[in-house]
Amino acid sequence: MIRWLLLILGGALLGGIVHLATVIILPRTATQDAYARLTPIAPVNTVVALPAPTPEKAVMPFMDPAFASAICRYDLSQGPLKLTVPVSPAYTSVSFYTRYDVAYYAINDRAAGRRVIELDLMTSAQHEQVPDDEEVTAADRLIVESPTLTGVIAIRAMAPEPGLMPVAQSAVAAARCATQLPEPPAPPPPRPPERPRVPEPVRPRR
Amino acid sequence: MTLYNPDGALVANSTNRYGFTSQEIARHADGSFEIVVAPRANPGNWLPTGGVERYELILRLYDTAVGVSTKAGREVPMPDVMTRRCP
Repeated sequence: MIRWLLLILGGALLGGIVHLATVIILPRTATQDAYARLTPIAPVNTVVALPAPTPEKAVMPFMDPAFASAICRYDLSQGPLKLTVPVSPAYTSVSFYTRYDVAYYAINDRAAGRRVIELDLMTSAQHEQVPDDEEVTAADRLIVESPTLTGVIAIRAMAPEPGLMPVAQSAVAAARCATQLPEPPAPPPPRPPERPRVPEPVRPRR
Repeated sequence: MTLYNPDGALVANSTNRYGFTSQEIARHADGSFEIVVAPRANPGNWLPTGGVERYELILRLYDTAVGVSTKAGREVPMPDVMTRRCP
């Protein structure tokens, strides 16, 4: 009797482990996730405008037809990324997703509080390398840490009515994301030009 | 408010209307509004279903002054859904 109970308990335990493991692993093994779908249409570290969703064709399911959207598929292995998004007259938002589509940061035009949303995206290792004084001097510099090396930035601008869609699209199209090349070390201050050596005049011996 | 089929695609219809934004919607004097979701044209805010049997309605609130997360669920008035009649 106890043996049967143990067997059932063991079976249930094993089943539970398999179930949990499957649920946790499934998102990572999905071959057609958002990142995979965007890969063929979006080069790395470039803003690409997404076509508006239509009944026949949409890049992603459940896209909002009232929004103009663009994405930047990023790869931070070459260095931090600089993102600039001009704010459209209506609601504009920028959201950040990891390689496995986990949203980890988002900002909208109201939170940014200016005409252009400007921020630097880097890994935590790259953030550590930013000199402290630089961060202090640029107090309004917004730094976002990405938990993964690759991922997707979604830029969305709202068109409150269809007539305003071109305005939203142009705002989104003007967004830029580009790798910041590590700044070259400042050249050493120019040394005063050396005086040409004039051979000393031979003095007549006394 | 947007209407999708269960796969998340917009539903084709003759008026190319897939949803309403708060600016597009016609309201009552007190600011409330009604949307009629139906296959055939209706007066007022008509959201066409294109004749599909199953659809999903998604209400999105972007940057609202009333935060759903800042209040208890009961205090936030949620929209009512009513079946008027079956075709």
